[in-house]
Amino acid sequence: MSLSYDLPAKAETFHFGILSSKLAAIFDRKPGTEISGADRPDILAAASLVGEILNGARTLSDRSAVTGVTSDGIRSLGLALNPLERLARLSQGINPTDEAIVTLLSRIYETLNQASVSSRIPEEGEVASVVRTFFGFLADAMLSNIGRSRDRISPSS
Amino acid sequence: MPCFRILAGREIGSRQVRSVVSEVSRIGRARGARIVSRLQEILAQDFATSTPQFFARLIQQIVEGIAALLRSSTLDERTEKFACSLIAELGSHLRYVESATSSRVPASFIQPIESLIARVTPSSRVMLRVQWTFNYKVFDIAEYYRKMIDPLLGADSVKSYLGGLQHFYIDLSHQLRM
Repeated sequence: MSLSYDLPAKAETFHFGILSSKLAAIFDRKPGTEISGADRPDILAAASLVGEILNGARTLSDRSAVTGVTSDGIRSLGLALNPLERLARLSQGINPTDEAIVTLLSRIYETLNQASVSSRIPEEGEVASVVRTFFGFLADAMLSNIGRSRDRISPSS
Repeated sequence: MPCFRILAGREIGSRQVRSVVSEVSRIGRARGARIVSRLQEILAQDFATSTPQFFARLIQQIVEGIAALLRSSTLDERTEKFACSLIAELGSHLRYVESATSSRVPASFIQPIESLIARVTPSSRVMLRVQWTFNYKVFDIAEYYRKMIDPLLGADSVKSYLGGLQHFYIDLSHQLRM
């Protein structure tokens, strides 16, 4: 596999990974902490990403729910599915259903939007913890992808 | 090898975490310095036009920007690992400049294509290089740089490095025999 062939996937992995890593760090702060102007674009970008994933995830539980689904949404869901399942298993202790994944994503989406409006880390500890854990899992998965793809680069590219 | 593997197999307490994070940062900055040094060596070679030098400067500016961020110690441990991996990734792009020297691509081939691109899309540049595998492809590396670097260095950082340029195409052709 040549480097240029691999570059679109790598760019996407870095994009999602860095954004997720920053979000996990923001939601690791003390509840009620103010979200700075520098952090706000990351919150908005994360809300947009989760919104896209949510649209893709709705097709899992309701096959007719294709309104608003984009190819980006499906691709993003593919990247986020393992971290989401891991998070759902952690909170529910069972293999998650498609509905549970959608509910979890909706909760993350709402929390991000609320944080964007209030410009504060949510006071309710559990909500912030779900967001932090989800983005932490997603970032770790992306870091692992980067390591694997580097191992696959051929010297001939 | 990704620099964050230094964590493998270690059990770290809260005091040691800081030293590991600093190690990630140190490795990232050292790697950045090596890339900049290698770029100077590459730039000492002959190029038919200024485009490869422009691309080399772009890589250098981005690498130095990431290294400065690592030096500022404002990043959390995980984001430091991404920064370090990004520097490594950019280092692998030096091969694009290395294979664009005059000895590899004939000047008579480069100038007409660069002029054509400049006429068709004035806010673009194209760099021609050779590769060893059979195939022909053109891709806009600026698009990928914006996607992977802006989340770390801030919105529009790549745009500022590109200085008004919208696209930077890399044109890969099979090795030409001279």
